[in-house]
Amino acid sequence: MPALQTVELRSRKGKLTYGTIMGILCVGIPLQIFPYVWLMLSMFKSAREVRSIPPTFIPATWLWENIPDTFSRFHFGQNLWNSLFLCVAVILIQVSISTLAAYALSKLRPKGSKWVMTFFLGTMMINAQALAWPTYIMFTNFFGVRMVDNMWSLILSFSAWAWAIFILKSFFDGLPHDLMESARIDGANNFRILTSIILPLSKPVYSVVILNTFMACYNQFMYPLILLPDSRNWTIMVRVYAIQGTGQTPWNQIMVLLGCATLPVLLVYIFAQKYIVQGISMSGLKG
Amino acid sequence: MVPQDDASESSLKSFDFTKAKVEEKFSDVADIEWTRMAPGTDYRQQYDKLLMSGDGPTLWNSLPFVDIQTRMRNGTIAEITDYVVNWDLRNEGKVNPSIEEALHDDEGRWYAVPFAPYIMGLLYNRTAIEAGGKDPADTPNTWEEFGEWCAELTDKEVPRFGYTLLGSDYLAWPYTPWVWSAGGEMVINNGDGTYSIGFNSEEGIDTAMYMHDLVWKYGCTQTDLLESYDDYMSNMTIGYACYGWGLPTSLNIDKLAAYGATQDEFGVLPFPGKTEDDVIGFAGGETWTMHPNATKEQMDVCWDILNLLSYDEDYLRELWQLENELGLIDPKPSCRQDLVEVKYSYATNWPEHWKDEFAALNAVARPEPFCAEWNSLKDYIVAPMQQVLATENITREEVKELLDECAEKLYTDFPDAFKKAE
Amino acid sequence: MKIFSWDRIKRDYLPWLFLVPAIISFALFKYYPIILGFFVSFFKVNIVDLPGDFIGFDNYIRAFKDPDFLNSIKNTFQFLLISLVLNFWVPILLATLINEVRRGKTFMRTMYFIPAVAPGIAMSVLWKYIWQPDYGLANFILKSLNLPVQKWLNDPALVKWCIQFPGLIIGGGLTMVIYLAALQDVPEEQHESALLDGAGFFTRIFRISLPQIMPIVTTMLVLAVIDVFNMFDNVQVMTGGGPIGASETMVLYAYDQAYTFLNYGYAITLSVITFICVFILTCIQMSLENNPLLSGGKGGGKEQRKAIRKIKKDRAEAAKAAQAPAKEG
Repeated sequence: MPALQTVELRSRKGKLTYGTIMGILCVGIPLQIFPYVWLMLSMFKSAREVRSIPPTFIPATWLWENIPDTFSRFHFGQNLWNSLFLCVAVILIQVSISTLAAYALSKLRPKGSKWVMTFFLGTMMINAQALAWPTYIMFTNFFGVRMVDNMWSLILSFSAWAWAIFILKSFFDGLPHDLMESARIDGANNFRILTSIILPLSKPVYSVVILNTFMACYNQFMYPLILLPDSRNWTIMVRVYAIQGTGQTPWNQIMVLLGCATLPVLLVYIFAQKYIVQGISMSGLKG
Repeated sequence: MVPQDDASESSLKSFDFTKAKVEEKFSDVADIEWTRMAPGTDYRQQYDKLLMSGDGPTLWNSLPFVDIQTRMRNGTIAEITDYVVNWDLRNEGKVNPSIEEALHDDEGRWYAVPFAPYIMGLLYNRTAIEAGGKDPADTPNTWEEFGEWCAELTDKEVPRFGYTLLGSDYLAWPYTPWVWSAGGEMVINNGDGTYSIGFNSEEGIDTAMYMHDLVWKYGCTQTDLLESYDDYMSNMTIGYACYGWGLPTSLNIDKLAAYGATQDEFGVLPFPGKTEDDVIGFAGGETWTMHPNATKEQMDVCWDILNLLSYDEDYLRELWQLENELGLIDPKPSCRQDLVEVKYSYATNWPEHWKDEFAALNAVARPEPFCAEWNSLKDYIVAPMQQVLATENITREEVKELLDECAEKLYTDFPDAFKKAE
Repeated sequence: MKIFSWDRIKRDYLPWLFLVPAIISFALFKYYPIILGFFVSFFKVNIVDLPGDFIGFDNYIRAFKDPDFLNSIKNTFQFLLISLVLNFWVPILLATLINEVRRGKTFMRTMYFIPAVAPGIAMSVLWKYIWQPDYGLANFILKSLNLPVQKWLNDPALVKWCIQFPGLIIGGGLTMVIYLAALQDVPEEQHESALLDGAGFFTRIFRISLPQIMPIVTTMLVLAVIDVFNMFDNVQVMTGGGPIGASETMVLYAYDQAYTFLNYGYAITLSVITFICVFILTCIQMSLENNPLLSGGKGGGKEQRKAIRKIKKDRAEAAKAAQAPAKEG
């Protein structure tokens, strides 16, 4: 609930406070979205115009062909498909594993499971670079299979993410214990309780987890860069990273790649925002 | 060897031709697998990673010759002495000798052969220079005059920079030939397999001061020392920079068209020297190397393939014909010493002035130093050079201190490669 | 009486089955590589013939004598401080402001959510462009205002601030939404009663709203510290560690050692040391507060709620007492 009370708003001072708040926020909006707008507009500029001084905002000429040109030059379509495949596979595996673990930690609490949470959380402190090279070595000979250059090495690596377990556990903690008790009296086993009672109640939280996993996975570039040497298997972000520094790519094409890479995530978030907020409120995350 | 995903039509055609020829000649051999390495500067890392995982190309042609000394010592490339020693072509003097010294060790063991020698010079943009009111043909060739010339060309409002410094990690490149033209050396051979550092001598300091002056006294460079290679090439192409480092053929036709420019507007000159007689160019080369774990059979085939692709006269003539039609032919001198002129004669699509310019540059080009750990030296020198270029009022003593410090670090970190002269 | 009842086993040990997939996956894909890395840090890595020669603690000793590594440690801590000054409080402030909006709240929230969507690399590339000293937007604005132009990313004194600056003005994102959700739970009655007691707007924000969201703030602080120590992408793209090593973080230095100098063993050592630093800092933070991360989501707010309940009870009793004589009288 807003802190500023309705009664306060009637006073001059209250109106002034409210007005200032709205003013600051409105000024902030263009700042938040300006980089995107500029990025999107730059997609259509010519190579020379993108670098012109003083910088232009709206393209002088709208070169719509920039987009198909860039796509075909960099086989961007293939990379887009790779990214989406990766995200969907990771979401499926990760959400399943995390649900089982969170359920156990929150509701079932078998003996000795207190330390398991710390075990999971500890992984969040390890940085990606430290893991990257040993992971590569591990996958060159993974139980006898050479997994480097194979999407599954990435998918499996990403399936271990503590954030999802943490959020789900917090949410499950908030669900009352009696639900489970009554189901158990009726003779349901643990797994049935999970699927028929807990899961249906958890829809909002799942939208948060899924969307966040999607975003994190989509934005990854370090791991795919290291584990997938062949550029046909690259995800979008790796492509964006790789085209820099070669001196061969004009800025407007870089902008096209960046713009097309960010657009899907942007659209998904705008439409799914309501569910995310609902999910966060219900997850018990905020304490 | 395979071109990148985003290579142009013409490169693809040229590669197809090569591939067809190889497969034609070696159809009886088992599979020849064509693979592609990552683009950009990651190719060394890619190679190492592949080696670590037990894989890697059997025959490779991307390692620049400066890497060979380091790699022959750390075991990442194969020894090919037998092939080279018994090589007829070489014994007849038909192989380009300019980078030979880098490819073998003191005991006569060979590890690589030349693939594509290259040269670099002072790249210029005619349109930009003329916009500044001058003619590239009159470019002066001493440091002082060049500095003043660029200062006159510079107009930060446009913006137009007289000379654009290669930024970020590549500072060592422009530095090196200028040290030579000042009469100094970057590294000096101790004769026992180690080298002592030469850039902290008086001549090295002179060069550093000159580069510093280009930034502060003449004010003719861009301000951004962290400029990426992309931006640097962009600037040269658009005309924000009049002079820079490179070779006009690295500006491919398609990209130039995107900016509305043509190849004719660009050219290359030798770097201005400290005095008139010291103009200089910079040469290097990529080499053929083989996998350290390759079998004798594999190596035999590799040797034949590389002979076909780089040293077979009939093949080369056909290739150059095709490349000329596609507009791809480049000024890299052929590895066949006797065919250098021949290659140039095929280049009918070049802008007029290029042939003379390349010949002039070739005449004064000196190969990059190739001591072991040369790449590390190039990386270590970036920090002190950035410091020198960023500080407005730096004295010679301070520069000397920085360069000495860098030399000390190199001596400590790489005792097998660098040792102080007695 | 059975000592080992089947039911008890079912209750206490069978649920481990649920945990097994997660434990295997974490152990295999997160802990095994780090242990492998730790193991490798005791070797001088030989590329063709892994792992190479055993050299014990040499890598670690080298790390602590290495002036560049010590420089990167200093840089990382400086980044931490700068990020606390410029970035940490911005989402809290924005959430507080947006919470006040009456009409159009959803619109505001959507707008301020957009920055969450940005891939780090896109933002870094854009901001590098803005900070360009010759033709970038920042200097363009300064020039129009007749102010002296700066060297931004090229200036060792300014570079860290320039890298962290985007977080200041583009402070929206997921963190902000989390804070917003937390703020929305602050009960209205508390503000009402505080208003009746004469507390002004700002007092109420600082005394009621902010303390209530403390648990989530401390959680976010832990995550923010971890993030700073793992800073790599944006620095790599914007400056590559320059100028003169002024923006080289520990992770970036380890990366350079691995991929530029091909010292893989040494690089892993540096990564392990970084991990240990983060681990120690996180443990310190977790033990200072009664942190909700470990306890299950109901940490520090409990104290506040208890106190508020007591106050309410006292007030109710006082009101009742005040009413009683009036009634009687």
